[in-house]
Amino acid sequence: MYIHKIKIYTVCFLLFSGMFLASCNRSDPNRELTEDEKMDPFEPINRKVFEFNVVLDGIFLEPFATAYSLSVPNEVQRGFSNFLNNLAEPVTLANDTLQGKGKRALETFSRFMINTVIGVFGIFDVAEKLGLPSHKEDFGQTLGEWNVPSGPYLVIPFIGSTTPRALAGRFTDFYLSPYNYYAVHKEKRYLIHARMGAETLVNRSQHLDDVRNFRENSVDFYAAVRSFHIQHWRAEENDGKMRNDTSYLDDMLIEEED
Amino acid sequence: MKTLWFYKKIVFVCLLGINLTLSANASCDSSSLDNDAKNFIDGMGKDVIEILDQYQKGKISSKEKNQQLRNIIIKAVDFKRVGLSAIGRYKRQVKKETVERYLTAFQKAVTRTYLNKFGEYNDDNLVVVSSVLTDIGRSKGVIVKSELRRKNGPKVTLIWIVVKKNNQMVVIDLKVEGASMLRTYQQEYLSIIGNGKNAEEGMKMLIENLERNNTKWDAS
Repeated sequence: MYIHKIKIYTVCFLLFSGMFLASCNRSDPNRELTEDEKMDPFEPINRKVFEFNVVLDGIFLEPFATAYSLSVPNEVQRGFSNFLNNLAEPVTLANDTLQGKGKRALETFSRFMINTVIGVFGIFDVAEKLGLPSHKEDFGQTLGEWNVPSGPYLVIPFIGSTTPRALAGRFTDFYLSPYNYYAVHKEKRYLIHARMGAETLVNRSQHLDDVRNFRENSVDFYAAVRSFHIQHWRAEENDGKMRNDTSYLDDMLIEEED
Repeated sequence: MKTLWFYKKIVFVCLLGINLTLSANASCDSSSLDNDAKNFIDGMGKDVIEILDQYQKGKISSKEKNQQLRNIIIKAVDFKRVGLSAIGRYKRQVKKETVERYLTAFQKAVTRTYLNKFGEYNDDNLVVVSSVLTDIGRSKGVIVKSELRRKNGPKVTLIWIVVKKNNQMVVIDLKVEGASMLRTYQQEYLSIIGNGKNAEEGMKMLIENLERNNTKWDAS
């Protein structure tokens, strides 16, 4: 029943957004576009949704995240964040496997077992101390590994910056999670809502300064956030190996004597 | 014949010697550049944490803290090169005075960004993890990887792109979680400039935006 509902909502949402997105266009089609703008053909509507999300964030999420960050001791916050990360490890394990990365899958499996048993259900990240650092893989990345193109940049109400590939990844990851499977089949949907709420709160509390910095220091908040996401996604492809890439500087950086 | 063979040997030995000396120098230069870059970022991190520590203990005022951090940033970042790179081809399409005005506003804006970023290091620890030599345009540069180890969250990877300028190490880019600050500035600025009727008008729009943000910051 629950899955049926999700399917209906998803189809309606995709139809509605497809019609809406198809109807919008840039005001000046002759203008030379930047690299990011080329990835964002629905910029006018994305900007509107972004503004909506910013207002929503300012009213609900940011105040709660700030209160959480200020009132909960650092050690407790860290433990809670570790616990939530541990719940996501089976999804990473499934995606490591789907990507054919045996070594990383083994690392994730070991992390999950060690942290669940010795780290008290993941509250303590014992595995990291044993030389098994955390990494995340989602089905969006798996699709990327299978050479599925990311599609255009999208901003979705409540969700934020994404791409069709990442959206499809989110949807699939939901079904790959044993936690969600348990909650759905045992009719304990509140567990899913509680986890989603907790993840959103913790994630936002960990980026309070970053978002504030972006908002206060950028001349175009939307363009800055879009650029950050597009670069971050690219850097995360190939297991983060692109983080050390400096080839973008060859075209961008002027020579000293210029 | 024997004399010719002897001279050939001498020339060969000399060439070998020159070759070995040049390689040794190059490798020595590379290793020294690598170490200089690592020490530069490490030293900067320690200086910043020291200043924040003094501020927390009440030894310096907020104004003094910001001034000291600002001095570090101004010395550490190649504002002219980064600023001109951020506006790309437009730097040649606008008046010299416009570029000068832009660079002044840009330096202030970037200083503020770094100042805010350093302010976040309050209870955290910045650790240099590794460094790799790389080609940056026509010269050599160093990628210095560091980690911001947060007390209440996952660590953040910061990658500094450092080059040598006038015998001093300078930062030309900082990548946070894979996103380059320079590229972000560029995409943001080009989008604004592109909305003007021409390059000059677009640049003016950008400068006004930067100056407006700077004034807001000064007021707060």
